[in-house]
Amino acid sequence: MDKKTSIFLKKKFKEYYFRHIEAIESPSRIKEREFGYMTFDRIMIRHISFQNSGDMQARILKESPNSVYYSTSFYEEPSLPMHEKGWKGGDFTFDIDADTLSSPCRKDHDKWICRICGMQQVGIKPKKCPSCKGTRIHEINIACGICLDDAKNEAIKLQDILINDFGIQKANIDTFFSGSMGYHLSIANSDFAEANQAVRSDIVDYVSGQAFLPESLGVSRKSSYENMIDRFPSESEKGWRGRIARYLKDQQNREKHMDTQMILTELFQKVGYRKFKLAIEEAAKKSGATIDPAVTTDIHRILRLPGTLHGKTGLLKKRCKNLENFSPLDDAIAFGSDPIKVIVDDSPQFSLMEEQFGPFKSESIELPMMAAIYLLGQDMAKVDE
Amino acid sequence: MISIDLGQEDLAKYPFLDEAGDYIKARDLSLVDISQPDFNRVIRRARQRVLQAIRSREVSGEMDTPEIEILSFPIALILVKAANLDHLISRYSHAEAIRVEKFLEDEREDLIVEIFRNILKINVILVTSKISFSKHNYKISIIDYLRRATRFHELQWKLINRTVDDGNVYLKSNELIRLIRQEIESKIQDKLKEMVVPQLPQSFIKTIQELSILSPPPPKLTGKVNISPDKYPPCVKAALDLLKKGENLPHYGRFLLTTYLVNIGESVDEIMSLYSRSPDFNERITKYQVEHIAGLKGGRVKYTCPSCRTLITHGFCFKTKECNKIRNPLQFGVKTNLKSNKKRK
Repeated sequence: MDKKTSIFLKKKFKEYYFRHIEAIESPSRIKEREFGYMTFDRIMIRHISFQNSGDMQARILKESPNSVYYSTSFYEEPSLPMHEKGWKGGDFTFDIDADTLSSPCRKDHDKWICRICGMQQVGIKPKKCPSCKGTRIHEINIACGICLDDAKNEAIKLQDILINDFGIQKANIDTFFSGSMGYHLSIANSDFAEANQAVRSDIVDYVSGQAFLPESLGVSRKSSYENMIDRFPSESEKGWRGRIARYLKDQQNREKHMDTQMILTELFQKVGYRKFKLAIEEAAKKSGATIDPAVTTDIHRILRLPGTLHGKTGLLKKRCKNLENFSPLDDAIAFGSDPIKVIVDDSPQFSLMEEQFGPFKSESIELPMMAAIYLLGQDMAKVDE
Repeated sequence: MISIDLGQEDLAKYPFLDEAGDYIKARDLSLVDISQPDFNRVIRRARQRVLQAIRSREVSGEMDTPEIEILSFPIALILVKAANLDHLISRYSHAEAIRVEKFLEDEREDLIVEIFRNILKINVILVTSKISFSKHNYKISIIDYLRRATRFHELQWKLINRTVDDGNVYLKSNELIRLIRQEIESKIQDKLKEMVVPQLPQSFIKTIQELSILSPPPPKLTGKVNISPDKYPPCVKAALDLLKKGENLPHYGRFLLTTYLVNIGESVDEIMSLYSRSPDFNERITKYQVEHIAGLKGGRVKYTCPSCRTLITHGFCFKTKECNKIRNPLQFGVKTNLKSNKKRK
């Protein structure tokens, strides 16, 4: 990013924070959290702590950074180096990212650039550059309404598991649009605040449907049960057994009207244990939520602060009061429609506030502020001289 | 304190309970009294308890004369403590825990609930209705479950393979009991650690010497194990393969490869040379990261290799038959080596 563009973005972020500083959410136990931020020169500052939300807001306003982060954990001394902080516990957090889902729209709007020969193309990043065979390929992900909807569906699946299986009240699950590609779910003050990495890791596998065994459905490699049908779950059963049953029922031809025990029995008898196991593993993965395991298991993580701007998009990390009705490309828009002239290098089509922009290629164009910042932040455009 | 009435048999089964201690106190016996011929059977049983721990790793339950079973427990503790061997302490605690586990498996439900609530501080709730195809007798909170179950590496203990509803995990009695073996073991170990050995009668000293001779220390695992790359675990091999092909190795693969090599004693330079083929190699950053993991920079903590479970979570497990039942890639060479050594003997 050129100097002029970064100065421009910083100025715009400062103006925004000046008017909306109160909208930045203060995390609970603020004194015990670590904060960090990234400047527009891409320098990461960490191990900061604040006594209260006023101090936090003042610093954010003063620096107007590219991105602001807070630790999901709380510490004895949050500003000390990591190994001296004294971990006390942490919120339970989940991250869902559209770029980890294989939504079909990605081939239309994702973009990659080979860092070696400079070749660039719209589409999913190849393993090797087709031109120079190099593997240093930079990926630019642009989220569209379709893949953000897919991410939202994952978040809804996750909420469902947390509520029904973990007994967590919906009101206690803080759900946010991340400001770019997906959603963050966070649970404060749960039983799991002091859970170690092994516990968090097992919960990741639970919510994402990893390592589900056919034995949990009541059958094993050697089974030739006469009463197999009684062992299989019905759709109304609790936990993963019911979830698998509902998934398979959904997959079935609806005209057949078979109950799930019958579907499972037929499947087991037809394909045998090994293929049954594969089919069940697939069903579990599809019914689980696709999350980034590292965010949940890494207890030293810092996460974007709710109510702050995402440096790459100019969108807000925004609380979703009603996830089902939340529309990120409308509801998380921070900047208005004042026109600004930018030189766009190469941009796929994207849309904000139901208005479509692009594709653009090497052109100087006047865009509404929100669209200009969206491109400037991702280094796809620069401010016009 | 347990709020239901405990009989002599209950105390014999669970002699680590405070109530069993009170029972012995009320008898007002000294060690000198116990060393008299009248109590020969107590001493014999105490010696047998320790011997069973050494030989079969499991103490039997002898319920013909409950009193002997109660009295012999603290005597066995004295014998173990006085032998002053760390490995005997852990071996004995483990063997006694298995004995307790066997009794708990057939125990009445109300006593199980009491023992869990009072001794282990786990809120166990009796379940009356059937929630899945198999009958579960108990439920505990997910966090109480996971704190213990994550010690086990078999997949059936993973939360996803349990019956879970509304914040609780449903368990059969044998599962509930298996879950807390370690804690019973720790309870007994704690008792042993806190114990002060009193002045011992001569007859005890002979028994202690005999037990010490019969309890050799376990084979030691040496720190630096020379493992040739063809003996690396499949996940480490997969990471190396990706690097060799010049493909991008995901973060977790890098962490695994580096921690593994650091822990088997490879030098920072040797490890660095592997990464030099990586498409995004940056010597300065790589050097810092490798040194950080080796405990030479930053927090000065040498990182250990992630467990197999963690690797599964991060999608970097390439399990083969040879992995057998290892829990950590570092055990791959070591456990196999130990086994083949044994065979040769």
